[in-house]
Amino acid sequence: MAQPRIFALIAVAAVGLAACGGGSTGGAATNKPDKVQIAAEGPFTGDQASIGAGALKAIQLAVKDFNAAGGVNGTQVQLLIWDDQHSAQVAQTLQAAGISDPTVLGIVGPMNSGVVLGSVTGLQSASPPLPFVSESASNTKVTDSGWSVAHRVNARDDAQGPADAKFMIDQGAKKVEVMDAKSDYSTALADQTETALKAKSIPTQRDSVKAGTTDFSTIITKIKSFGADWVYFADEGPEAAPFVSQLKQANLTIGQNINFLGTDGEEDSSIITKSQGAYDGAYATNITADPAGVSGSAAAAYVTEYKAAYGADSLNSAGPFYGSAYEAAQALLQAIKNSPVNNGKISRADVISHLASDTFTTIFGSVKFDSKGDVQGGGIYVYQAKGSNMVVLKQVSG
Amino acid sequence: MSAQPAPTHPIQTTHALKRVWESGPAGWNQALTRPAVLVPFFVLAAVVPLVLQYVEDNSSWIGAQYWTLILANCAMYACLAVALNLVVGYAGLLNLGFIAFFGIGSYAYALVASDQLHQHYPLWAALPVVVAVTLAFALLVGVPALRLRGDYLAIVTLGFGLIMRDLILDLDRPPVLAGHQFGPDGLNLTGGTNGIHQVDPFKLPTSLPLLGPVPHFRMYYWIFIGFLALTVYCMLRWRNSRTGRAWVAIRDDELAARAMGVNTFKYRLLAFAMSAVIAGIVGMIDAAFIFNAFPGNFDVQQTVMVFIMVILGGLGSIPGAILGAILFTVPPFLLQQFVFYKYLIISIVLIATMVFRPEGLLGTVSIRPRKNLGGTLELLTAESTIEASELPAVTDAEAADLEAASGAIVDDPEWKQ
Amino acid sequence: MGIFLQQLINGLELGSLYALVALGYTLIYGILEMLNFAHGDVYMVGAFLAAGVAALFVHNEVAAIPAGLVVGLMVVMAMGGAGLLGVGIERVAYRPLRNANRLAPLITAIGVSLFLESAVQVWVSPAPVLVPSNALVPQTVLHLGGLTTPLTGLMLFVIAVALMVALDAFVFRTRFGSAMRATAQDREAATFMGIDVDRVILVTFFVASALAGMAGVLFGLWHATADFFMGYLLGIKAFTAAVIGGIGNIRGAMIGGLLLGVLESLAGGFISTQFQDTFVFLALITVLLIRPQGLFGQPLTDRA
Repeated sequence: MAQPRIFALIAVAAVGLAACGGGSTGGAATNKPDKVQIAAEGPFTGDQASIGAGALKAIQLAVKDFNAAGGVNGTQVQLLIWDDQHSAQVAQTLQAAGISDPTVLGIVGPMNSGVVLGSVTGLQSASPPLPFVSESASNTKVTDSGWSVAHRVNARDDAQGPADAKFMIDQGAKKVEVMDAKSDYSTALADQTETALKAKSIPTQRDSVKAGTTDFSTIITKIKSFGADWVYFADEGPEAAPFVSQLKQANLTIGQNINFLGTDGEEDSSIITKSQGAYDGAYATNITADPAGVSGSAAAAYVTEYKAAYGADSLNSAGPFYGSAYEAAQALLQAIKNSPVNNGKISRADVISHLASDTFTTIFGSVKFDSKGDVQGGGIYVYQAKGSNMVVLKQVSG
Repeated sequence: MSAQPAPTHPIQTTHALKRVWESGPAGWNQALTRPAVLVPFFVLAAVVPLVLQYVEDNSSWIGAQYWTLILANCAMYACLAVALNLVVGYAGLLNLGFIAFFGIGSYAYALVASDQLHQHYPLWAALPVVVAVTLAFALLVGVPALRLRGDYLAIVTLGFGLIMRDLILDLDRPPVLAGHQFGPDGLNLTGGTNGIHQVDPFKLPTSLPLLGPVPHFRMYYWIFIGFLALTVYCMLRWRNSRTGRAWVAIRDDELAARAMGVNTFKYRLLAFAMSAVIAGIVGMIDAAFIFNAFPGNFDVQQTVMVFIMVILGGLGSIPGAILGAILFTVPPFLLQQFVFYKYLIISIVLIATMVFRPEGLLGTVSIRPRKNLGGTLELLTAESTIEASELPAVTDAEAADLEAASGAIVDDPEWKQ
Repeated sequence: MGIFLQQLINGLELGSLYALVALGYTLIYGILEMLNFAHGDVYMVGAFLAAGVAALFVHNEVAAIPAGLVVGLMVVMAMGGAGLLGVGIERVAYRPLRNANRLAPLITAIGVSLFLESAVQVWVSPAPVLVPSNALVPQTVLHLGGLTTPLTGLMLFVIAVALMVALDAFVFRTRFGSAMRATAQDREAATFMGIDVDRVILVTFFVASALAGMAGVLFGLWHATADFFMGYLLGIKAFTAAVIGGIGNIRGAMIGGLLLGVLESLAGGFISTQFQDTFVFLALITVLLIRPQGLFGQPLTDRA
């Protein structure tokens, strides 16, 4: 029949015109996407909820702020919440929902290296591939394996390990006790640090504690008999506070006859309170910055906003990644906003190419990903517990 | 198996259904495990992903892959629930380390089909390895432990599960005991906290005649459903065999069974080992499905989850186990906003079920409190519900005879009920 | 030698904790022949109750109350609260299933345990909470030769032993204690002798749970922390201790607890900290296979 065919021709022409009109980068203001979704993925319940819960709140805040500033050319971004419970199997199932929905343009997360490594092949081989920006996955394989979908705003294990080792050696370490908490993050990191220490001929003793341990008397006796002058505890959970309290009870006072270097999750000032001051003088390195310790108005404004939204004490349970999660969300959202809109749709391929090429403005300053998906110039931040705060000392590298 | 002729008239159908309903859980289970019900169920289950795909292709709905994955997870848990039902419901053994066998199966397969040990066995070679390894562990735990009382068995199996989990986490480097290293440097058996990645999937055809290309997730959904069907079939054959009768006898009254010459140890071991091997094979399929084997596969929380599925669905009931699996797999994915309360809700459901209806929805094994003392478990049967009013009444003439014969006792009104 | 003694001291202190909780397991098993999986979580609730009381008075300075009084309040709250919780659990979850198959209360106990952990995680705090021990007890560290122990650790040991002795006296030297032992031996016969079995069970649960609550307070004052997951592993280890000593046997639970603590410390210190827990579970399995009645229990008849 003639009539439907004419309508079809007009429709095709209209689409063609619209495609031509909306083809420029920078997002033409007249082109509003129909629907934009991103997903926040991480262990929001379960054994790693202590790092996931705060990150989720940060991402929710990021989406809210982004939408308040206009969203993607007027379209509000919708946030899907995928609680992978630190399980790659659950992650794969949840990601399937996003993979088949072309309006899902990216994931902030996954947070755990193990989950990333366990689900990335599905994301990479989806058609089209679904990009992600992780705020905390630190395993080197995440960006070393050539996946175009992989991005992260935090530093890597092979940056943090040697940097931590160098820091301790520079401070005069003679014998180091290296401890990890048997998690995918801490074991890999402790391995890197121990290798770097051994390369410089520093004697080490290696011990593991199970997550959730509260009695460290056995290990502390071992540390004493080893004669360590530094304790390195790679951990992102809450074991640090009871550990240093018990160090003190065993007559090992930080800053006097022992030194302590912790890692992500241990630059948390609530540890000072929870260890009743035993943490004073301890150092901690972080693969991301803690907004409360970084100078700069954007970070400070974010901290104020976070506290306003979630309560004055909320920083105590925000975990170590509440800053980097916001940063990762900002990067992803800006990449989406910079991508062209065709027919009310944004393509993931464009998002991926913008993630690769653009510079993003975040609470920690400018962020640009290198060709592997790591952040250029990402450093390790060293904090020290002084009084009742964690103070940023400097940035180091290995 | 019911010998009722197939109802032809609609009123006959409703009569038959009404009779099934009234016959209680035992009757429901009989009805639900007839081939006339099971075969259509599995055929329907197999067809679902094709229907989903069709709907997705012809409408604006997107969710075929997501839902197929959810259902695949559901089918996996259904297999585990049926296996646990075998050991807990049929044989009455509280295996709290059950999920460890699932994990052992997944790691056994991952070790022979990935780069971890540089072995890449195809399915037909890997399967016997998985079965052998799982069976070995089951015997290792079962032979000594099954001689113990039920509560002790629970603790030994729990301890076994915890030990396995620790070993899996710790064996990514040679163990160092008392300062001595056992094993060469660089020995990495289990991948430690990260697990084993890039596990080979089964080498299966990627497209089938008539159905066209089959994506990975759909193929594995079919594999899980197929394995579930196979397991259910085996359970039903067993139930009606000598082994099944031995299990029922042991469960009802072990002392009596032994007095009758039933080798209780052998049958309990058989149930324990079979359920472990089934769990191991499910683990193998899972490892191929998600291309990974994780230490999380050994978490005690998972055992508790499968327990709850079996308890709520009903101990001793195969359809109950499947129903329980559906009830506890699908809603958590749907109700993501309640995910913080997940374990809270689950624990309340478990407590409520045990207190108010311990036989669950479709259970045929009563673990209810007994009114009279002695004996172990009772089987609820359709014939046991006899109303007092159905008993023949004592006529006055009979009462007078009795009174004459036995004196004043009969004056007690209770005799006349 | 010094290290060995130090690990021994660590082990005795840890073992005191295990012993207090193991006593609860053994009391309940003795009287009801059921494994109360939720007992470790009652310990956890006791610790949280103590932490709550401490937070009320120490940080908020509701009233300037001397530290000793605050500690006293913490003990009362923790023991009383835990005791009531134990009684409550028995009433709601275990009593309906008292004459049921053994599986039933076991499974229910697993449910109660999961409930307590989730409830505290969701409604109180997913992260560990502080018990401000610095403000409540002296933080002196005692020295003897090269050995050290915090005063609070010694306190834990001494108080635990004192409580165990008191319990022993209660069970073996009082009338009510005889009633408890009678009920444990044969519940039906005890009813015939005129013992109010329900009341005995109630008191048993209260005492067992109160002991666990006290263990929670002592732990809080010793290690200054409480978290929702602390009862899980400790519960399993305390149960192991009860089994090693002979479940149902009070003296066995005390010795078993101390023994297990020492075993764990020595194994962890001298063999490997990584496999510390594995050794504990291996000990459990070995005892169950070689001598299921434990060190002090009677040989078991193999009833299903």
